[in-house]
Amino acid sequence: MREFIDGAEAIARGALDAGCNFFAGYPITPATPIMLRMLRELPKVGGIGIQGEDEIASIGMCIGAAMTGAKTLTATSGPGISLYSENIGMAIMGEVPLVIVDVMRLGPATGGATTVSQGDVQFLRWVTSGGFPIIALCPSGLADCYTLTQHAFNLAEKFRAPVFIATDKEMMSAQQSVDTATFEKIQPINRVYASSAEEFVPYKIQHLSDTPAFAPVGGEHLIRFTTSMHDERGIITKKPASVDHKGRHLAAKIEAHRDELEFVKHDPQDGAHTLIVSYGITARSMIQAAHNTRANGKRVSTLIVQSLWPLPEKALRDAMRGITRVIVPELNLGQYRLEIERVAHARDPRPVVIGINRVDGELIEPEEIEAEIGD
Amino acid sequence: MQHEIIISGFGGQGALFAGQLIAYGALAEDRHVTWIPSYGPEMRGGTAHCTVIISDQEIGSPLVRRPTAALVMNPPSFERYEPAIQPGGILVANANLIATVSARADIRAFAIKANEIATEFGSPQLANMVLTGALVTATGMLKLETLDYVLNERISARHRDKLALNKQCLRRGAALV
Repeated sequence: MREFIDGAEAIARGALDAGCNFFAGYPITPATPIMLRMLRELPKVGGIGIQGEDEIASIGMCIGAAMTGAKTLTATSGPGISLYSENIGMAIMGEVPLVIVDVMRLGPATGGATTVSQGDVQFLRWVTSGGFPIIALCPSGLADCYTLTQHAFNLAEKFRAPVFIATDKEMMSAQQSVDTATFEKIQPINRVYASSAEEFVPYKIQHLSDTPAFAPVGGEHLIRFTTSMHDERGIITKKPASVDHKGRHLAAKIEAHRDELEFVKHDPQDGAHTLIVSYGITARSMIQAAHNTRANGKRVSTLIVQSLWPLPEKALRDAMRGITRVIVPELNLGQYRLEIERVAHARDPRPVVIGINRVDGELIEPEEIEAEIGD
Repeated sequence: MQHEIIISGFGGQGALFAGQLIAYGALAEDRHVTWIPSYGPEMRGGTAHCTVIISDQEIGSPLVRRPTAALVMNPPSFERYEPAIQPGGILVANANLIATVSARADIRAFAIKANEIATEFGSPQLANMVLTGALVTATGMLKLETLDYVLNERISARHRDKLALNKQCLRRGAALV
């Protein structure tokens, strides 16, 4: 069915089809359209949508709802993520499934409220104190908004962790005609629930990389939930062995599953020595630039990164085979280029890594990328 | 054929709505279309513009740097977009607010006293419809009847009493090009 929709609508539909039944958020340009759609649609499917009194309360409600078993979504922009930061740490520590949309706008501070940016890329990676891994997906089109949102919910459930959808003002507010029947529906995954037959130990795992079974607050089991360092029973501890176990577990449950967390679209061209790597709205210009370049008889490969974090290292390494130049267009001063360089510099011979960067509130144009591809 | 259009004015002049009307018209005519709004943080005033691409093929980048047509409603928009129009392109300008006349010989330029005309219809806010009627007709990008259909479908309850006036303003603008 041909429709005329924006990214906010596609994300909301993805969330609902993934089984989202709780949303809380506070209005902020350019994320408000997601909130408005969730508040409109959730009651129709028996869910709950709340406009909180502020950002801190909103993410708190999401965490609480998630701990009762709800599949929760919240959406904000960079300044809202600043306010979420402390509670995101709480969600990591308490192993709370949660999907958070960051509709990036030009920062810092109030910045350019109605202006596009990709300036939160490293902010999302290191979004809270302690330095633990997070998962962040990044859609570059309407179909992606729908599908990656479903993946985000599934990953949040599977790993009991906050998962980001990193998007931007243009992805959310630009409308486009699209055949929504071609959107890919993903089978929803639900978190593993603790058996009622056995004694429940809130954070019990066999291996560091396992995700503990879940029991809802208000259910048959006694639940312990704390933001402080705790042992498997959820009891505060300073015992080095328990503290070490928890810390390594929070990292391992994501790091050990990196293969499942790599989402990319690789479009290689035989004999190409230049690879362009991009993400989000900027990838649209990259695809156009590659199309124009190939039409002129030149060769170029492209890689759209759909999972920013963890860094899809294997896909990047594979895409760099035979490549001498890597171009990284992004709407910041080179935040993701640093990561690409790290992968590139481990190769022999080392490809040259070149950034195309804009922080003037305008999108990178295909012509700017074509000029960098050169002959 | 790909139409790449910029519609620009002060916030409140209806630039974004004019773009939406055209975009939904394109959808109704089964074309590919993108619409990107750009505006300041102000609720009213400030600048507002939108870009619309209408194409018979899938649209790659939704960016418009050199429009095939521009509809400008205030002097800053004229200064910014008149020079950017592709040769052979079309300019529709609100002559009540823009004193300058395009000196370009390689575009077709229409200066329309849209505020004056809309006021004759009893509603100065409809200046955007006069200009849209002119733009759509001058470019031939859509049928006027398609815009009637979109207005029937999409005009808000608050403005439904002005449905007929909207259509009349579209036609008045169309007659001027």
